[in-house]
Amino acid sequence: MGLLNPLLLLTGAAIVVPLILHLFHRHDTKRVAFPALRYLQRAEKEHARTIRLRQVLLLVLRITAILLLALAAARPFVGGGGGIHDPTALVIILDNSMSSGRVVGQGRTLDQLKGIARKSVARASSEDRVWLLRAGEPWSVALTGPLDDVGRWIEQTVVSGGRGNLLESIERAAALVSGAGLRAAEIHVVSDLQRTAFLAGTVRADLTAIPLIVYDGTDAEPVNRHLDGLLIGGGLPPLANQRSQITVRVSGGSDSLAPIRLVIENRIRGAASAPEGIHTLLPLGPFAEGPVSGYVETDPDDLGLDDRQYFSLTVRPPPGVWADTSQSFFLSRALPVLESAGLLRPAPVTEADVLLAIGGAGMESRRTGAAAIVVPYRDVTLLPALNRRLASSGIPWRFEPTEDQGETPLGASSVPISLDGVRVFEHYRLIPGSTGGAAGAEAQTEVVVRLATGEPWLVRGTSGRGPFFLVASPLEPEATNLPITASLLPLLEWMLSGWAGDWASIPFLIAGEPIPLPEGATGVQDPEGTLHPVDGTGVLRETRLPGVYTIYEGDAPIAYVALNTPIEESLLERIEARELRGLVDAPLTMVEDSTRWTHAVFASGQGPEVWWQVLIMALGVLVLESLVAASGRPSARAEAR
Amino acid sequence: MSELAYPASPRGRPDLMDPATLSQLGGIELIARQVVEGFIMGLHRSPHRGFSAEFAELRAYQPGDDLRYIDWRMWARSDRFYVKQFEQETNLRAYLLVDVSASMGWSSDPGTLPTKLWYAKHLAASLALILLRQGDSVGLAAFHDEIVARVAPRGSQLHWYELLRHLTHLEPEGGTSAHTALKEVAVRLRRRGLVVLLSDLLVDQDTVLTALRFLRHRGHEVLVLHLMDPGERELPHTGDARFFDPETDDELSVSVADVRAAYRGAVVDALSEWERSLKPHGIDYVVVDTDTPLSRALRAYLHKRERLG
Repeated sequence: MGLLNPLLLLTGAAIVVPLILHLFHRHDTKRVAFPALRYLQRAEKEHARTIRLRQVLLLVLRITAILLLALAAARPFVGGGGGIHDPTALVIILDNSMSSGRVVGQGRTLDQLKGIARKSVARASSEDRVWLLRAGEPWSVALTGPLDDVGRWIEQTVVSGGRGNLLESIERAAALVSGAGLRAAEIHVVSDLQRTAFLAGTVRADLTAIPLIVYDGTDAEPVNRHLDGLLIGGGLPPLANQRSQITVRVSGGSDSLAPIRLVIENRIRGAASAPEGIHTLLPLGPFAEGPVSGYVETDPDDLGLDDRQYFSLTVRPPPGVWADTSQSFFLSRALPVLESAGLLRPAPVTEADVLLAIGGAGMESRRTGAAAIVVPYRDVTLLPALNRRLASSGIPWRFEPTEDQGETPLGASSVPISLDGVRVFEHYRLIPGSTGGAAGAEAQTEVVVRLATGEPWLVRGTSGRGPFFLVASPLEPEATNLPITASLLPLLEWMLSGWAGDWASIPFLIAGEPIPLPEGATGVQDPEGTLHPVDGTGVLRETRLPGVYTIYEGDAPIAYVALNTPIEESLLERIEARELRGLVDAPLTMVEDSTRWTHAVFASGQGPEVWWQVLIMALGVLVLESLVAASGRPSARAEAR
Repeated sequence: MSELAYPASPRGRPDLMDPATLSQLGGIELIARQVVEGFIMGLHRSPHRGFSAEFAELRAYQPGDDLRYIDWRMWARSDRFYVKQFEQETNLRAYLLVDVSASMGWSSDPGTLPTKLWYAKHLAASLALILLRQGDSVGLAAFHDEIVARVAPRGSQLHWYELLRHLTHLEPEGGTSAHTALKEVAVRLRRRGLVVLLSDLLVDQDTVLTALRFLRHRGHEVLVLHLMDPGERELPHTGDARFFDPETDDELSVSVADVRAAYRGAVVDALSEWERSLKPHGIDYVVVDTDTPLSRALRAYLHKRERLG
């Protein structure tokens, strides 16, 4: 149903006339002497209900007549329902994002959406040009072809693990239909209208002339339990033969406990139960050096893809450490202990991953990328030499003597180790150096421990040669009691193992987003086992499935990457129609009833005009109104008088 | 209610003229005389005729005459039918009660249709003239909330002028308290007689009914002539209006179109109630529209008078 002169609908505002007359006219009437008032009172009393009913009936009939006349003036026509439409450029945006995999009744949301999309294809004609745009597969091109092919592509659409960006899809669709050169254009959005699919802002394309028909028929959002917040260790791969831990959180579920299972190489390696919103720790390892893949899962609900979180990591060997332990009695005792625990291995200065550079010793021989833990001598005369070594290594800090000595406790600390009881008796002032300026130095470094006075005591940063730690006090009992407390070994372990060295941190990628590939990669195997050849772009775009992807160089696997579902897709809250209208400046039609979809699409499909039928209805109502009104006219005798 | 058959309207007879025309003829005396003359002339052509115990004369039998009064002796002597006529006896005391409340001064079509009071005054004068010509004695009481004029019953012909003098000066005013007047009449009328009430009956029905029943209880004959302006049977041809009662100043806003049918029914119901309430007690009740000729009401009186003998 459409209108040729919709502005004339405004004439329907004339209904205010009978309304005003009905509500206010009686208060402004003439006064008439009438002795038989008692009969009138009796009539009003005995027939109050009938009188009221007659008034309301007359009012309704008059309003109806006015509205029908206004409608007839607007020249309504019957649209859709088999009517012929102009050749139309049509883009069907089929939302196959992760949330469309939710099970509803006997099927999935995507099955319902595909049914709607098929209706659009069924209403299209061979003169139309139809594209299919899968909102959950941003890497896919819009598919266009004969209607049979479009129907087949709809059938072949499967749930993607990626996020649906409907605003971006609408912009793409607008570009397609605008360039089609056909007289009419439409965009059909067939989606579960998840709010997070509209986070990109507003549509910038000009849609004012493109009808946007949006299916709004999927049911209300349910509670959706899912896993998120996956974290392994401190974000770095665990060391070989060392225990680590994996953290995960259950979100969006009910208050009841959810089971959590850790599965590695198809074997359950850990289990727990956790309430919603709480981070849960599961022990991980120990593992030998090499790649490890697995997942954490909970029991699947209606939307099962987000109930599993994959991970893939490469267990790294203990770091090679060089230290001139002759300069520190306590370090000479501590490092062998860590070595015996498998947390480090001795290495020559030129090959070490980490240098324990007391007084800056060995820093000239440090290989690029190796970390340096710099501890000063007590002898203040050696400070200039140390500062020169720092400067030559590109570390933009320097040590300076200070008069403010005395016993001082440690203050603010971001180290994940207890430093309670550690006292400082002597320290140097750590000053951001001239290399790159103070601001630049501050930008590249972080003070991880301060004295109670606020002065930096332990600084962490990265220079061009590699990462570094700077300790403001010599590790001697005269300068600090740290060497004789239980905090020394954990702090050393944290500083030594906290550096990835050449080992990258564990990558966590999102399904639907491209995977950057290492040099030499020739193919990528997805979680279903399909091998995708690598093109010259250096990325793999077709990442529909969550899971572990294996990157090959020739026949040899060279890396593993885990892809998980985007957290936004787990939030099933729907967008309101009025919000959508605010985001998209287009002639927007929301269709809630799937049976009405066929009639709503192809607005240019004007059927026959029906104004005269409406006019007849209006006349019928007016006749009825006259009959009712006539019941209040004087009798023939009274008229004769 | 009694619906009297109304004869075809021969031209020239004032008793058959509509009140609007009649009011053009002159004063109350002239109108009443002409009405009564016309009315009596009509009676001679009708089978209705007063009969009393005292023989007066014989006349030739006419179809429709009561067979009881055929003089069989004359038939034996002359082989013709004669009926006996009797002089009427005068022992009836009649009391005319005229409602002069403010509502009686209302006309739905002023200038054309006379008021109910005009109609009542002329009807009372005509009735009085007929009664006096029959040798009955006639009294008069006019009332609204109280009795405003009273004339004791007498039977002389000159008494009519006394009655006219009082009727002429009656003006509509005040409310209606008919039961007070009726009770007073009941007290004053020691001999049994005829009480004719001329009123629009826009009164408290229960109290008036009680008073009328009391009159019947005292042995009086009662005739109620309910005067109605045609505009009281049907609401005026107007839109919405605020109607007010000139007696009480009560007001009611109505949409005439909405309430018209219901009002019509309410009037019919009210008239039926009056009839249902009065008839079982032997009280005659006649609704007289003020746009109908006076003879209609006079015939009602005649019917009543015939029954009284």
